[in-house]
Amino acid sequence: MRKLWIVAQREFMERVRSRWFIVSTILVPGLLGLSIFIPIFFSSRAAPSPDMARITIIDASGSGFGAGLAARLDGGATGDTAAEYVNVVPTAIAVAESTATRDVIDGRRKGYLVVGPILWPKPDVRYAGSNATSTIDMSRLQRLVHDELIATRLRSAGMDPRQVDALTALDLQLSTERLTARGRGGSGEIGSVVAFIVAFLLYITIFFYGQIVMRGVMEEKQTRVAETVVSSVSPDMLLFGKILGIGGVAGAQLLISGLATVYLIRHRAPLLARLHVDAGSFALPHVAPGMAALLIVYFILGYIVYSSLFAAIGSMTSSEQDAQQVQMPVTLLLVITALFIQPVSFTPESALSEALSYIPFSSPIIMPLRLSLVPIPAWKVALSLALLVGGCWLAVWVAARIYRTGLLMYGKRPSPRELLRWVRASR
Amino acid sequence: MTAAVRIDHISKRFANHVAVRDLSLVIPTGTVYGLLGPNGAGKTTTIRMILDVLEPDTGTIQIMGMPNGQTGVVDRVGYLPEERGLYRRMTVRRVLLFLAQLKGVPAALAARRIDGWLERLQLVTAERDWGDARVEELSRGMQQKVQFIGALVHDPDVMILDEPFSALDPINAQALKDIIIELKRAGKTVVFSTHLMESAERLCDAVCIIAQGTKLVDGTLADVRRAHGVQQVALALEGGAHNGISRVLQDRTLVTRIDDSNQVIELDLAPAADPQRLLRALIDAGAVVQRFELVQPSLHRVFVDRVSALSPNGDAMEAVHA
Repeated sequence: MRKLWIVAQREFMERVRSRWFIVSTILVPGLLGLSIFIPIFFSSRAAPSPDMARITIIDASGSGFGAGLAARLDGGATGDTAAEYVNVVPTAIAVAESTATRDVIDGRRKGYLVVGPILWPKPDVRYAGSNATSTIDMSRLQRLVHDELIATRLRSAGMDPRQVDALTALDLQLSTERLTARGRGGSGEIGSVVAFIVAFLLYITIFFYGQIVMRGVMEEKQTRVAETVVSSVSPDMLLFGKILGIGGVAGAQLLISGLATVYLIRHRAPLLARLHVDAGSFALPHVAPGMAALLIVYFILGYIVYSSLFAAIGSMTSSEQDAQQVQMPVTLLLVITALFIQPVSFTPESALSEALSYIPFSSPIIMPLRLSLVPIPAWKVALSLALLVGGCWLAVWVAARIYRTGLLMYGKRPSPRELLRWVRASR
Repeated sequence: MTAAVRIDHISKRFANHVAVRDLSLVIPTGTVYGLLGPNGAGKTTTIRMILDVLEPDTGTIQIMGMPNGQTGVVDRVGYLPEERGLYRRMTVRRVLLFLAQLKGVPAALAARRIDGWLERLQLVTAERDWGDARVEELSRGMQQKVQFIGALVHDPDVMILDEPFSALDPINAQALKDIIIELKRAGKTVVFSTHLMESAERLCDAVCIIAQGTKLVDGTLADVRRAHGVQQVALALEGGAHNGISRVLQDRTLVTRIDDSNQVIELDLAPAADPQRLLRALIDAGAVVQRFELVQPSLHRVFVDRVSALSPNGDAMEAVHA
């Protein structure tokens, strides 16, 4: 056990001391921070075009819709009075449209809206303009058209125009809150987006640190230092020490990144204020301590499963190219799991989602995702964990057997049959 | 006295071949012991089994009277593998400290010893302290020195060196030889494998020759030569061997084998032949004898004879000269 500790310590210290550690520890929260700041920055900057009212409304409905919409556009959006409307008979639409088209092409107008003769039951309204791809302009236009259509219908139904204005003036902000069977403090208060991010981060980190373990094993094998080391410490201890040490590096790095990210989000207001951006109502999700502990347990077990498999691959190959090919099956297991993140987050209670939370190769990523989306009975979590621990034990056992033979074996990489013999054989 | 290493009937079979076949050896404490054999004889496999890196299929190995798998036993052994290598990005001191700690040396003591060795092997000089350099910044020769220190830093009772002289520059070879002699004087046991008979002959107290995983002969250097059963004569003649002399040398009742190396002719005496009779016959034939010396067969000779007897197709010879 003392030797295990010495090996783990070396792995940890050498990596923490390296330039790579400092760079990636700063880079990761930096990128995470940017990925949160940039969308906030741009979304708050994105306002409707200041001249979006500078359009022509071709109204063939004969209902006064055009006049109403022009008033809404002028008064509401930007305060200017640029919108103009023409009332036409249905047969004159084509002529009016070609005039309007030319106006848009020559830059005199922003666009034009055509309202067909029929407003009931399905109104025929379309827009063409230079800003037709701006979602923010179009959603604003759509809302105004929608409001004016309702007002027009109410007017034609004989309602007093002033009453119509009062009734249709509605500013809705839908506030949302999630409830689970256990109430608000239940299995987790993480929003679905955050759940998705957590699952993805699990995938990335397990993959990332698994690869580091593999490269570490390959380095020991290729520099031949492995032979010197295993004359002092058993290959099993060397393998476990490596997994433990690099796991420690992962822990340290994630802790630093996590704390830095939380700090940045908490204290974003002054930073954003400097960029003249509103901090917005984005709040850190509340994660219950039990949920956080489960997340960590799943991460650790998932890391052990995959890093031991990657270590076995590192030990059975003698070159980079070999490793690229041989790691495919293990990489595929991870990538396929990652592909399931989206379907599972849409239907977290489907049979497929449930099955994936019991398979040790996918459960470290899928189960935390489901846990943060839907309440899951404790016994199912326990079963998933028990299977994962079993899978972990098996992966480490197989990896240790491949590792101790592969580490001192050079040249041709083993065939599957030879591998099987390594697993069965003693040292 | 307990043997430093006692190997009892070990065998090791790999997928396609038997690497070691029922091998038994006793390496006495305080000796320099040579494990000799052509490439592929099973030397490295044997060494790996001694160090408990590989497990024998059958048989047992004891080090200083204790099973080698017992906790702490391999900590008393130092090992210099044939394929050398270190963590390239670590500094020299940290690598050595790591290796020492793995063998159970407390950090403070290890640090002191490391400094002593670095100075002794001139890795710390007035101009430069290489101890704080990364391994990858060192020349190959310096890396080899660091590797020696790594094998020695825990002051092992038994030192095992796998092909230590291959790929060493002459200066490091000399340094290593000095270290081996010094260890022996301090009562340590040094085991090394080699296929270079010259270095074995100069250094070893006892040897074992193995080929194809089987022991051919073992014992002290003198025993091994004597057991070879051939008496040799080293002969030097003024004017070389002319016709009359050749006739004498071709007398199969006297001489069974001639190896004419120009300056010296080495002769194998026939089993029952009397060297005096040969000398007389030579003088009668008119030879001017400058040197006539009864010699033990060289280790090289013993090795070649033994190994070729095992594989008559000459593989062994090639291996020896490789």
